[in-house]
Amino acid sequence: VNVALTVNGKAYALDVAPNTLLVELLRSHLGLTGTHVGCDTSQCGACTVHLNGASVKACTLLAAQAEGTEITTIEGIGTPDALHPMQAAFRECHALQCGFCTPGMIMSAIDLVKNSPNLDEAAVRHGLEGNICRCTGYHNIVRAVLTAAPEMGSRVS
Amino acid sequence: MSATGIGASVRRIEDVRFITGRGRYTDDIEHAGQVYAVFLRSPYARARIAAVDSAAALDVDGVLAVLTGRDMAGDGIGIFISLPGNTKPSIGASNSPPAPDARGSAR
Repeated sequence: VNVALTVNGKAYALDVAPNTLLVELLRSHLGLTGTHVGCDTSQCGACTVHLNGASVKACTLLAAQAEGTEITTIEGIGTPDALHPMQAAFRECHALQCGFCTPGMIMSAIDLVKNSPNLDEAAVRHGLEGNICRCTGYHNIVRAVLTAAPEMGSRVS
Repeated sequence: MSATGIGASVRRIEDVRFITGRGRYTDDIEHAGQVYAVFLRSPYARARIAAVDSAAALDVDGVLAVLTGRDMAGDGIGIFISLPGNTKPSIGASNSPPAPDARGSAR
């Protein structure tokens, strides 16, 4: 099938097999390997990207379903020289160890903060329920999200 | 916590690539002509390996080779050691060496 979509601001038109998942399109066809496949079954959240601004698990969406949408991946939110506030907070708060879950965590966290005018620890823990980390534990991840939130315009209580 | 020296908060140099999606994990590597290996482990906790019949697997389109303990021995490849002190060839347990090492028994 033909899929036309925008990824990180760039327009693409691709011919992919009908059963191609969005995450496969990103990783194999576009070489954007920052989006990870941790479980393939929607449980771990490592593949989280933004579709028209909302976080989705890219392993659970067919590439064809993303026709005409705007996708943003971890590569599209900031660069080493100009980090997104959430990326900077993850670094500052030591919110990662092996880094495998990190892209999905950051993409989910950005969506969570954008849609939460008021955040507290419980809300962050609830909001990141769909993202699993196997090394750091969640303490520093929650701290990072609460650190980035005010910089993104959300109130933290 | 002091700003420098003992107890200082030190930023990790590897974090920038991880938080910007520039890490390089095994699954991210793609070379032209790259092939893939699958390790088959014993479905039994403990068993004697009488024979390995790989004919059906070799018949599958795209399968290049099926390597067993016999091939490993034939090439003079020694025992994989996955845990210090574990020098017995074995398959089945999660901390045991990969299946191609199995020569004679699964445990």
